[in-house]
Amino acid sequence: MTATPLSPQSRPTTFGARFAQAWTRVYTLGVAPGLRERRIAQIASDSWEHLDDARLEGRGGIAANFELLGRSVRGMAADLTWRFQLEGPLVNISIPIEKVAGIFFLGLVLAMALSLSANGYDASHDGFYGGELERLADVGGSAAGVYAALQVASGLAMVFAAGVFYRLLNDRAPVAAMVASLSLAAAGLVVLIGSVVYFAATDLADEWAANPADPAPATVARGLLVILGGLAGLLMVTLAIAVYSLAIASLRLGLVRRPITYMAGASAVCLVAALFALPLTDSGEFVWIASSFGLLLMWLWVAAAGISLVFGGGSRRSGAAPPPPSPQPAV
Amino acid sequence: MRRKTGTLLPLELGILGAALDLRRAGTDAFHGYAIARELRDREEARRLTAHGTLYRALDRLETAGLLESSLEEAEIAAGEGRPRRRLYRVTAEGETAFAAAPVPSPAAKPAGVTTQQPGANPA
Repeated sequence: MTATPLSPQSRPTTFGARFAQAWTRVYTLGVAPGLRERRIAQIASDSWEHLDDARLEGRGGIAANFELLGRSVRGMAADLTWRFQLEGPLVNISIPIEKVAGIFFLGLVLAMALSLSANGYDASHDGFYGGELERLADVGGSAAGVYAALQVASGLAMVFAAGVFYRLLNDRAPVAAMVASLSLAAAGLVVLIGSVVYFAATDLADEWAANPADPAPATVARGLLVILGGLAGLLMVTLAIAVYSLAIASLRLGLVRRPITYMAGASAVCLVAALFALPLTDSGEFVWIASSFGLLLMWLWVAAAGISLVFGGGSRRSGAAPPPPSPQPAV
Repeated sequence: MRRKTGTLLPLELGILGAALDLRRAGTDAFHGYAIARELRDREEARRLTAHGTLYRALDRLETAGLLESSLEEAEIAAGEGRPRRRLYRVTAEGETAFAAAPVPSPAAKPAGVTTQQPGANPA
């Protein structure tokens, strides 16, 4: 062989090899380290030899990469079978707690944004009949359906996330885990109920728009919007309790850096200030600004914590309780 | 369907057969890609064996004691500017198992078995 071989460093830059490596890393997640590294090394070596061989035979790089991609894809079923045979049907994926929590935090960011966008009265519209009801009637049937579906998805995601957070945190911060999970599950249920109420209200608004002389749809729609307004308030309270409990648990376990936690603290101060100012002032401006800022900071904390956990790996302090050892897969 | 313990699959027979042929040709140890290429050439197949299928079969053979493997010296790989290879060798048990394996019917012809048929004593 007179051609200069590919350097090992050049291997991962080809898409076929990168795919093979990425797939190997995915299906070997949680496998005992020695076994995992062995399989990753086998595929890395195989990919390199494959591309080098193709190059020496004068076949194009793209064609060889597609061959490599095909070998990875065709072998996926066997890879998964191998993986399941190691541990039986219950695969123990020992992803670090920080990563799992971070992924769910980022999911919560989206779910919160979607769920908090549901409100009863739209402040930009004056009055009920000429404003809110007309706005709802303008929402198309499919748009209302999509919106309700997104709400349902975010509600279910919150309930699911509540279960995951409970399992992740229960043995290390039981009280915070319990409070966070219950309040997050409650928030999810509120979102689910809210989605049904919203969908019904838009339906009634359509009826009212078709026949404004009939007062019944407008009356019921108004009632539903009042309920939706109440649900929005309940959602904020349950979400706030969930997020602050998660913030406390994260701080105690050293999962999130302290400066990020200050954000949650500032958010709590803003929301409490808004709550106390409510009966003391006639002007709703301060209450509105304080509560909006509090919610924004709360949302930002979840986003920052999620990013920090997924990409930064948290900041376990000395003295903080270390995580229990992950059970090793039975090989 | 669960196969009987000790029964070799066509691919496993193919690997053992190809590895024994390589040994006779002077190559005592082989790496994963080399055996995939050997199987393709002997079968005149268009495609190389998939990663998952190949390495699962190699693992099974090694677990059964029919192959043994070791990682090549890091200096050799570094000298050739490539990742380290895991080198496989057919064990005495592997040779015996291949020789004792029933000759497959033409409908279930094992991959890579062209020059030496299982059941034929290589000695």
